Amino acid sequence: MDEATGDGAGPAVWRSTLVDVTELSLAELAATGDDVLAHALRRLAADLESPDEPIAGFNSAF
Amino acid sequence: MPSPLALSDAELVALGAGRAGRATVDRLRRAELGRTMLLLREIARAAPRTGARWYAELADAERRAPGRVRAALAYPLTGAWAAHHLAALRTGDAAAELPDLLADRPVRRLTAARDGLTLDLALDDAAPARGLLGLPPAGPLGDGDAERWQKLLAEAWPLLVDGHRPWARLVADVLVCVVPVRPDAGARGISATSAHAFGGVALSEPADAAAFAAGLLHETQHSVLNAVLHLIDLVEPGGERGYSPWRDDPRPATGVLHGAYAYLAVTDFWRAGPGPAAAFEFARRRSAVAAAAAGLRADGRLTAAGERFTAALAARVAPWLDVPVDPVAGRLAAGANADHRACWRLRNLAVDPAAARALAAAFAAGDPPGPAPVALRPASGRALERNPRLDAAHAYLAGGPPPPGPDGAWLRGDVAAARAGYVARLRADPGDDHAWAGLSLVTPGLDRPEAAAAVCRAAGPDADPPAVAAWLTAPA
Repeated sequence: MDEATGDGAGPAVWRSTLVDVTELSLAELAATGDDVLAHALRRLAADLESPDEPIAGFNSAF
Repeated sequence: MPSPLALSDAELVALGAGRAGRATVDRLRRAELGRTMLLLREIARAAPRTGARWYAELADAERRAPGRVRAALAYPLTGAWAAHHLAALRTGDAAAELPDLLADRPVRRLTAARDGLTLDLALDDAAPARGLLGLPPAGPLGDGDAERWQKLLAEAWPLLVDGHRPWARLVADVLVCVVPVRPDAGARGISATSAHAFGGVALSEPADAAAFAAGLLHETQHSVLNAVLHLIDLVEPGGERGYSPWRDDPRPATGVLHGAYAYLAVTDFWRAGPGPAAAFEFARRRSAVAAAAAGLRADGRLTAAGERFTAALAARVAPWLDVPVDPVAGRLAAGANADHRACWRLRNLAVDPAAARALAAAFAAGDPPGPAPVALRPASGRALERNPRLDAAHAYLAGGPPPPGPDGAWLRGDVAAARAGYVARLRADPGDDHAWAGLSLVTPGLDRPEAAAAVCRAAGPDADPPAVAAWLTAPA
């Protein structure tokens, strides 16, 4: 899924399975096939199903 | 073809250290906007009739006014609503009506400027989705309420800009809206962040400017980490919940990382604070952040990226461990951390009943203690409980008198008196967990108070609590 790629001297880039869809219009995004977005959609679905959404409780005062 | 998103290693390390620059924050914001767009696309697909028509209208509006639509989609509560609605669609619980994301509605603003740095936030007391950040929202604010928020921000912002400019810049770069929420009876100030609302913060009305500043910092860090976690896995999935220094309930490793990351910023905030109260907060938070980061790295639950991120976090806090603090504040901070751990164990760990009975029999027979295996009690949800000893420490550090009884003796550093007081309480009520945790603070080696309490429960009135504690902590 997420992986580091580099030149051997150390990881250079941590790639995500999400893709940048902000360059598309909403109409273009709707027309984009599921196959193109498959990895991103799987990650999105996994996020939504995760039971561990962190909610912070915080005593912010003394 | 959409291009893959990525973070450079340098960006990931800077993020871990709490030093993300504006370009990185912009990248995260863009990724979050794209994520919301994907959520909307999936809503349209999941509800082909109503959802698709609603999406098409939004797409039409975008053709006419792209900037306006993108701004609406980037608003934190849009992401929160979209995630909530899509999840509901998939379980068949979705509301039939879809919102007008472009509806004009008046929104109060919270603004402050200092030394060239401006914070401009929506104070959103009206958005229908404002209840999706994890805490019950307050009702609509009156003008007086809004003025109090504004006055507090006007005092809080200089604290951040003057003392912590890089953190202030991060807050200004990340945060978009504050949703006022009802105060929590068990906490003196409460706040939350939804994973789906980048830049959105739910916050009860802060007690003072410092609390406001610390709360904004804290929730900014949660927002940043949520966005990173959407991009890249930092923690391997699964695994048992465990101890977290910031919560009274067991937390998954991701939750522990969130706590460490949020308190990294808060710790730095208190580092420069004046007086013993700030020293106390700094001292107890730095130790907790360092210990949590070390625990995550030792547990083997981090991914390779998570190790890079957490190592940077640990490296940021490490030098703070050597910063001298007021001795009383330092002693009480160490005690407060030990107290939290002891209370957590008593609250969440159940000693195996058969082992407790065997321990009680061994105690009665004068044999050495055997093992006391524990299991997590059934989850009871998010927990933030008040600890009277911690409240007393805060009051004492603020110049108040110590309370009567063993807690006061412990605050004064009178270990013998504290011990005698806790023993008296436990003889009167061996089920007094507050006293067991207190006794653990003044009894070297009593780091598993739940075992001592379980032995007393199993042995009945014949077991003298201090004798059981001494037996359990005696050298083998």
